[in-house]
Amino acid sequence: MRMWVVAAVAGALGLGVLPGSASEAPGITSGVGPQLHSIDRLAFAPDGRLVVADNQGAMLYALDLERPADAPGVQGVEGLDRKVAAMMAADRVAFTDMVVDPRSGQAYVAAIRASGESGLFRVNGAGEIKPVPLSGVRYSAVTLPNVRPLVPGYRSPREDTVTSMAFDGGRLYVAGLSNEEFSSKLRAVPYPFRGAGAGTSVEVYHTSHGELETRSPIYTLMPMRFGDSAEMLAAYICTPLVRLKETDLTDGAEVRGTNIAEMGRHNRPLTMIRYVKDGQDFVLMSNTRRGLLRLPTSAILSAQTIPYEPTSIDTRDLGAHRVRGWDDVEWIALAGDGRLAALIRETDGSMDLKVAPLP
Amino acid sequence: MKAPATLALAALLLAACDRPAPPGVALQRNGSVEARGVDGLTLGRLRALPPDAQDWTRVLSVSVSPGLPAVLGRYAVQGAAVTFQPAYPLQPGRPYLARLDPGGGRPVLTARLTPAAAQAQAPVQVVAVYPSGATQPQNLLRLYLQFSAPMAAGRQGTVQLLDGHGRAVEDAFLPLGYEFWSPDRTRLTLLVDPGRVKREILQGTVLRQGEAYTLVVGRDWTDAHGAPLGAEYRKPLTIGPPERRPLDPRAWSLTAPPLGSRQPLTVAFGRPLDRAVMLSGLGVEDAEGRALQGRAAIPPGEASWSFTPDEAWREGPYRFVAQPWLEDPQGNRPHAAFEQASRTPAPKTPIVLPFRPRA
Repeated sequence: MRMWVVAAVAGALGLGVLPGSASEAPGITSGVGPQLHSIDRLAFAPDGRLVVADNQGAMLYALDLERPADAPGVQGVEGLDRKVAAMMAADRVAFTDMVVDPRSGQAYVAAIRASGESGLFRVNGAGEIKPVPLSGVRYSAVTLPNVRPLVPGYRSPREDTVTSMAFDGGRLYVAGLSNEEFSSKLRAVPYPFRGAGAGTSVEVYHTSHGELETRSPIYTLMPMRFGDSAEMLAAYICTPLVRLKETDLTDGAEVRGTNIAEMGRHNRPLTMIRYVKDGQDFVLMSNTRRGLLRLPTSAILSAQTIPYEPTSIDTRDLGAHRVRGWDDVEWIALAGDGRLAALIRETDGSMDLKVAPLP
Repeated sequence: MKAPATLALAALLLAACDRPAPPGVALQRNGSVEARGVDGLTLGRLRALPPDAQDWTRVLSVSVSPGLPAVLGRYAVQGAAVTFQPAYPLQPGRPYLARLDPGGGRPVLTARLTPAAAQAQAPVQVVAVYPSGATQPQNLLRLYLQFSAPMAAGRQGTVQLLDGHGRAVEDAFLPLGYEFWSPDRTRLTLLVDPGRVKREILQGTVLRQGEAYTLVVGRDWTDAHGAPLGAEYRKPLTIGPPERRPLDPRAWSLTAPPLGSRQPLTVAFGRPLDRAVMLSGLGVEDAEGRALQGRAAIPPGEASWSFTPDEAWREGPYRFVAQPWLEDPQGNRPHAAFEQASRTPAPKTPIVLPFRPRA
């Protein structure tokens, strides 16, 4: 197995049309050995491929990674950030995401070092950290649909950052924010990437709410069925929980979401996962300020719409339980066998990969 | 060269081949590491390895610190030397530890390698904060910190807003996450917590009308090479009345340039607009709708915009075009104030002001 990762140099802006790659349809490319500009958010697709959001290149890549032959599963690693940083010739890195491969059970982390280069690593069931080589990897890629029209002669509108990705019903839902406008971006991209696969861009408004809430960015998304209705549960910064009907998310649509909870002010949600423990169905949400919050799924399914009204109450959190001992958690993922994998900041400032029973 | 001398040189070279050079490790100009003095048997074994195999590190490894994994990269045998090309560039000025096991019964050698620091440059600094005015509306939503050079990825330093008594305003800025940079990583976007900007929701606002504040950017910010900010940056701010009006293009005044000149077109907006959005959303088109090439400028205060064309103005007509995403630093858009309970659809089409150069 090859033992090194292709260094992706951030900052060199490219339009994502790669030498040697065949153009299949507008906005779609495929080939071997993707030249990513950055590795940001990650999501495993239902077909087992790893989708990577390359924010610097404004592209989404679906990677056919080699199936690892080493220890399946994932084991915790103390000081994961220092160890990954050392492999990247640096003292420190930040992790931009973590996911667990449902087939191998191994955890994949995306890291960025201060000078801007990204790396992709996996942690296996023996707690070994392995670089994930991209040089021989087959991929297909799609240019992120523009949320602003591309106007000839004006500066490129590629200023978006993907904040969250979720698969459902043959589509990849991509939430993002812009570093200029304060607004909510949500795109639905057909998956596998194909045809006129640039997907749709929709504007989301919350029921009965004013501009402020409606333009706030979505930070994490999760598909959920409300009876027969296929919806996305979206958590915004500061921290409304909103239901969005997938059938409404069509090209150019202005979608009205339904606000069902307020999870706390001055808080940024990071990841939501859903699981069943002891016969009870839960949603677990990691947050910058409120740590790890556990909600009964039934409370979300039966939650009433929160009407817009002048109020000084800023938290209606559906009886969320704050899980003790996980306050400095960042990215979380289901690790199989009733376990949770989490990147968690220790008191000495280092970041551990912790694997523990689900709360 | 005379024959006897050539023979003598050949004999010397043969002798040198028989006895390997003394072991040593050195950095090369191309950023690679070269090890000499490895015994012939070891070289032969290494030649059979893939360039990224783990086994190379038993002979030569480069690390940031003892006890941490080796830096990733590709190895090769070139002549009598083992070379290592790091996958991520070694950082200038930072010492690395090289370990060489030359084989042949000779002792393991360790060496400290420090890539030459880049030529001393002036320390990075905050060159501007936008909006630039000394007085800002009470409902200010967005600020930009403009740095003189690309900043470190993955971490931010401190930004504080001090009140008139020098006390930090708690939770002044939205916890957006760490990648809210412009693509060149020189401009950071800060959002004043909109949950506290909004009128009816939540207790209190961040900024209070009539009061004085100081924005403080701490010295703990580091540039892409890890060097700290040259000096703490302070910007005094006085807070005036809120600005809740939508942008009104009827109030804009356009000064047409003289025909045949390259003097600028100027447009005054009557109030400050968002500088970044002005740069991406304002332009001039000819009668056929083609964007004119030229140079845009935004004077301090961000209340006007000028455009100097590359070629002299012709008869016309021309069109000044404002894209619909134009905003002020409070998030107000053309015909749509940021804060309004019943949302009116935001404009989808550009605002166009036709003009002809003055005869």
